[in-house]
Amino acid sequence: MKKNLSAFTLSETLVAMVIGLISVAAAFSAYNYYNKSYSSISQKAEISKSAREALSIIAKDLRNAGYIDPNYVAHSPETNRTERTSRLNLLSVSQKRFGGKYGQSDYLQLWYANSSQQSRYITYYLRQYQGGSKDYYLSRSVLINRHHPQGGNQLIDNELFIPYVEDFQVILKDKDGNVIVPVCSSGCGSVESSQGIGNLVSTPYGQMNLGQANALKVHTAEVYVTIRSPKEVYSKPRKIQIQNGESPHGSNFVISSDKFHRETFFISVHTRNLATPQVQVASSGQSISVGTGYNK
Amino acid sequence: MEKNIKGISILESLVCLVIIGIGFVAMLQLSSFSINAMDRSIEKNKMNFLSEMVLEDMIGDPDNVSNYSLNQSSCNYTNNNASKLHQKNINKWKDKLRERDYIKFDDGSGYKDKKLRCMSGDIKKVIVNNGAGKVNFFTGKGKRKKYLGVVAK
Repeated sequence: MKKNLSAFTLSETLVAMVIGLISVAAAFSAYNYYNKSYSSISQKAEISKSAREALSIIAKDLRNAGYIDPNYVAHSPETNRTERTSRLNLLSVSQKRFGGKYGQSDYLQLWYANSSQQSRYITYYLRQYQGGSKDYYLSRSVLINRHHPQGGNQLIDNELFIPYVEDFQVILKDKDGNVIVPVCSSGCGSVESSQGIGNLVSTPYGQMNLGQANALKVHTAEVYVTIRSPKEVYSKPRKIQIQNGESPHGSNFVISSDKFHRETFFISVHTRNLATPQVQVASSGQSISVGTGYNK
Repeated sequence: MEKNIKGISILESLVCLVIIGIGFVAMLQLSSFSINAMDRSIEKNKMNFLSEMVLEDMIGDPDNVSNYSLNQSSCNYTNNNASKLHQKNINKWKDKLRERDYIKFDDGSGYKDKKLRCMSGDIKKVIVNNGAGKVNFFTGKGKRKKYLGVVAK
């Protein structure tokens, strides 16, 4: 009795091996592709999430900047609070002093009194990661009652607000849409000095220097933040040029070739409590607000 | 007794491979779709900020709200001469809506603008009616719509 127990022929085995190898190669390349896609997507999502959360808070702070509770001057626990001294640090932008990795970023400080007993002094600027990293993050600090006799209460101290920030620009504009400089009262540097920050000017609240007085005229704040992905995303290196804000007040620099992904986010905020419109009584036409504002 | 022990034929295995191949291609497309979805999500995020910019500008200039209309139905546009705040703001919107000069990248063939996607059929509209402003963005060839409104005065 003949048994027909045939095995694979050599050619069948070879064909099977070729097909098998092609399948394994396809599976391997697909795995690599998915892995890269996942990395790219998760990093882009991270950038988008940090920008959304952080810029909403920056916008809120800028909207509040300059607000002084009607009972603050009379009841504040801080020392030397007058109509004038309360307005010395409402908003401040120091250009290129805490410039980050590329030396072009701004320092932003703002102040408001959210109740008769409490004021908030908030700063944003780029800080270098610790441990020898060359990268920077946008930090946020909040100091409660800065001028309290026992020192202010540091509510938030340089928290990591937005990771891997490559540029942070704040451009301030007056009610006519023109860039206004210098607006600076703390952390000011050589740029503000060259803009005449030390000149004394008269305001309805008394004499201030130009940088302090200009804060009362700020109508709009434009903020640019350029964020980089923590890890490389692209397969080929690309040279990057970043331009944020109007020249010469903004930034303009080139980053040599790398494989990181970058996004710039922009917000524009009407600073409601600085250059406030003068409200007029309809019957008499008289102004009922202090004269630093502008007529509607 | 003859035993008929059959394996799968080469034809069957090829059909099987084609089916698996189609599966692979579908998965690749899914991955590419998810990357595009993330890019669109970032753009929507930016659009949210830009919508807020438009509304903030109107809130900051309440007596001129009626001058803040915009109907931008082309991807290419030029700025007009501006002397008044509302004209400057509209020029600013045009610049920001196309992210002019934010980031340029050069992968060996000269600098290109990295900007928000704009396709034929996309429309950016700002409608003002009785002191109330409304921002309409139609993206993705006009298929995706976004509305945001504010009473400016």
